Amino acid sequence: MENSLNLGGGLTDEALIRGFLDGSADCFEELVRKHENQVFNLAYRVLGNRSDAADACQETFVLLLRKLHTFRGESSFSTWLYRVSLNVCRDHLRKQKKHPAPLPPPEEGPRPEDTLEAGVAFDPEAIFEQVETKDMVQSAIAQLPPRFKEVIYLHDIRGFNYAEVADILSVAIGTVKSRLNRARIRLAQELGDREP
Amino acid sequence: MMRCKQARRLFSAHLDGELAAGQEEQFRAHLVTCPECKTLLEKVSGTIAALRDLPEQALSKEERGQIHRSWRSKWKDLSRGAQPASRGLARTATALGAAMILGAAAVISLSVLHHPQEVGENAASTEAAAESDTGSDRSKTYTGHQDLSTSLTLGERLLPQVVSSTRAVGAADMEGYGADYAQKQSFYSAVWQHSAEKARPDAAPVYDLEALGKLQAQCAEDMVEAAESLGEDASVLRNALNSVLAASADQLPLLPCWAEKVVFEGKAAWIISLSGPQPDVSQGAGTGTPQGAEQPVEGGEGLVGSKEILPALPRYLFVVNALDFQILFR
Repeated sequence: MENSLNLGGGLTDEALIRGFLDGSADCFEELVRKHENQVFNLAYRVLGNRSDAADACQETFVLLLRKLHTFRGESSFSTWLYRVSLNVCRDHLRKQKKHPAPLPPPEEGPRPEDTLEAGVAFDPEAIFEQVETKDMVQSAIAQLPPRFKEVIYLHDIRGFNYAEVADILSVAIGTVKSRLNRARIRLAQELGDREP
Repeated sequence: MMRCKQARRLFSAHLDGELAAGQEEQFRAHLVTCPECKTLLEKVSGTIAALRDLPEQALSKEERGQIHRSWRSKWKDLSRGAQPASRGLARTATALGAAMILGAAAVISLSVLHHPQEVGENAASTEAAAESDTGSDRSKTYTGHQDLSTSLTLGERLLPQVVSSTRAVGAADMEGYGADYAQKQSFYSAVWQHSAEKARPDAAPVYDLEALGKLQAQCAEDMVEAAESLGEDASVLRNALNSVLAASADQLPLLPCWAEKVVFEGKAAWIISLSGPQPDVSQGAGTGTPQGAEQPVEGGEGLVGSKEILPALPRYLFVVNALDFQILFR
C-alpha cells in the first residue's frame, strides 16, 4: 500500500497538505504528481476507458482543491484519496447510466514490442497473446458491477489487504471477503465465456 | 458432505490460505468429487494471477497536462477572490485533524445582505465580485462601503462542516448541543450580521431572498459533497437536508452550516444545524426567531462559547432519522 512516509527525499503527504493549507500551490502540485497515477489507475479500472478515467482524475483533483481542508488525518491521505476518487467514479457511472454516451473510439494502447520484458527474445506471437489476454481481462472487468470492480482493483490488482480495502470502502471486512469471492468467480466466468 | 454452493463461498478463503484445517479438508474432499467446482476454482486461481499481471496504466503527457491545467485553472479562480490577508487557501489555517471552519478556498460572490441604494457605488468591488465563480446576479451584489465586514462577505465563501461519527446521543443531549456553535457564529458574522447592523433602528433588516436561496442550495450541495468524501451515503444526507429545508421553508432561506452523523436513540440519524439571523452570538445568546434580530439578548459579555449560554442559542437544529427522514427533534 502506498504510504505517506518520506521515501525519496520529497515531502510527506502531511507536510504537503500543511503547505497547501498555508497557500502553497507548489505543495498541491507535488501532491497531485505523487498521486495522479494512483487516481488514474483506479478510475481506469472502474470506468473502463482512458478518456473517462482522465476526466475523473481531473475532477478528483479539482474536488481535492476544494475539500482538502476537510481531511482530518484519521486515515492515511492515500486511503482518503481513494475514497474521494471512488466517489467521483461512482458519480461518473451514475451520470453515464442517466445519459449513456456513445462508445469511445478504440484506444491506442502501448505497442506490443513496448511491453516486452528486458532480456526476452522478441516473439511476436507470444507478445500478441500476452496483449490479447490483458485486453481480455480488462474487458471482462468492465462487465462487472462497480462494487465488484472496486474490490478486485483494490485487493487483487493494487494488493491492499482486507482491512485496508474495508477502510477505503467503509464496509466491514466480512463484506470485503464475500464481495471479493463473488467478484472473482464472476470474473472467472466472464473470462471463461471469452475463451476461444 | 459439502455442497457446491458452500464450497464456492470458500474459494477465496482457500486460495488465500485462510481456511481452518477441518474446513480445508472438507473443501478438498468436495473438489475430488465435483469436477465443476474444481474447474471453476482453477479458473478463479488463473484469473487472480492474470489480474496481478495487469500492467499499471501510465498517464500520457497530454492527459497529465490536462489534469494539471484543470486544477491550476481552478486554483486561479479561487485565489483571485481571496483577500490579500488570507491568500492561503484555508483561512483558518486548519491543521490536520482540526475541524474545518471557514475555508477561503473559494469566492463568495453573493453578498446576501445589502441595500439597493448601495449598488454601483464602487467600481472596484464590483469588479472583484464579477470575477467570482458563483454566477450570482451582479446587479444585486453589494458594491458599497469598504468596511471590514463587507470585505469579508466579498472575499470568503462559507463552507459548512460535516462530521461523520457513531456517537450515541439522545433527546436530552440535544438540549445542550453545542457542536455547531463555532460554525453558527462564523455564518452569522459572514452572512447575517452585516444586514442587522445596516438596518435602521426602526426597520427590519433587508435580505436578498434570491441570493440567500442560492447560498442555501450551495451550502447544501457542499455538505452533500463533504459527506461523500467522508464515505457517507450522500443521498441519505441529501434527503435529510430536503426534509429540514422543507420544514423551515416558511422562514427566510436558512443556511445549512453543520451536519453530524450520529446514532440517535439507537438509530442512524443526521443532526443538521441551520444558520439564520439572530442576536450576535459573540455578545451572548438570544432566543430569536428567524426574523428575530431585534429579540432581547440573553446571557452576556464573557460568555462566548460557554456552556451556560449554549442551551439558549436559537435552535435551528434538527435531528433527522436517516432511514425514513422523519424529523425527530427540532
